[in-house]
Amino acid sequence: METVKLSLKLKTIAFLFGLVALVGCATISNFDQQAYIYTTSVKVDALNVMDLATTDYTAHSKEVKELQTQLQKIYEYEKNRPKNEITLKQWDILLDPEGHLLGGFIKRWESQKTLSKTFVIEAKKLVDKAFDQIAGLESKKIKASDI
Amino acid sequence: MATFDFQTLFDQLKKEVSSLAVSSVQQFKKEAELDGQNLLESLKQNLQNWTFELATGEISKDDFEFLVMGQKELIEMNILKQKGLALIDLDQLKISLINQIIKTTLSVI
Repeated sequence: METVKLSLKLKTIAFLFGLVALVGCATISNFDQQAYIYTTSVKVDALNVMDLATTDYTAHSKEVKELQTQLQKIYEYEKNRPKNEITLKQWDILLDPEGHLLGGFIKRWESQKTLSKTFVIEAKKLVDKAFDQIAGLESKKIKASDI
Repeated sequence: MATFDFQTLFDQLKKEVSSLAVSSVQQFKKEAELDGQNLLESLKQNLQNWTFELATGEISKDDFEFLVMGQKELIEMNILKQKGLALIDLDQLKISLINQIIKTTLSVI
């Protein structure tokens, strides 16, 4: 009788392990402190560079290039995180040079040489909120310590 | 030692799982609605500002169109965020379920 009970217990424990393995797979990447810091840090740099757009692009091409390099590094980091497709799609929208957020803003500045102050202020508000969408999602992701 | 009864265990788990799922969905719905409302409010405010600035010549028609398109892309990013938050909630629900199942099962064997 004791042997039967022990066998039943072992089966139950095996069942629990199986269950954990079956439903334990995450559907989205976990929180990444580094990614969060990169995002919030480059947001500040991006908004500062946008402020320069009321003056000639050619005078600031170095700052723009530095910002773009920073953004490329972050994009590469995000691209190599598992199950991170949603965040990557957000970055795609934000950085698309054919779009109308940061990527599009830089392209427009380069082609028009200078942009009006009011336009820069309004575009900055959108880019600010766009970065917040990425950081906001990251901050809500499950931390490894919570699993 | 108590007799191990699968049926009782599953009945108990069924109740607990259902309760966890309902509270998780309700919480997510509440947060998503609030986030959506905030975004709509800022959309309204932005459109009012841009229309005024276009009328007064502070921004050009091209600037106006660019900003409206930017707002549309911001909404797309927010939709992605909501989709991500739903997946996070799902993962959190799964973790809670696993913990609950383990706790309940171990308590009856």
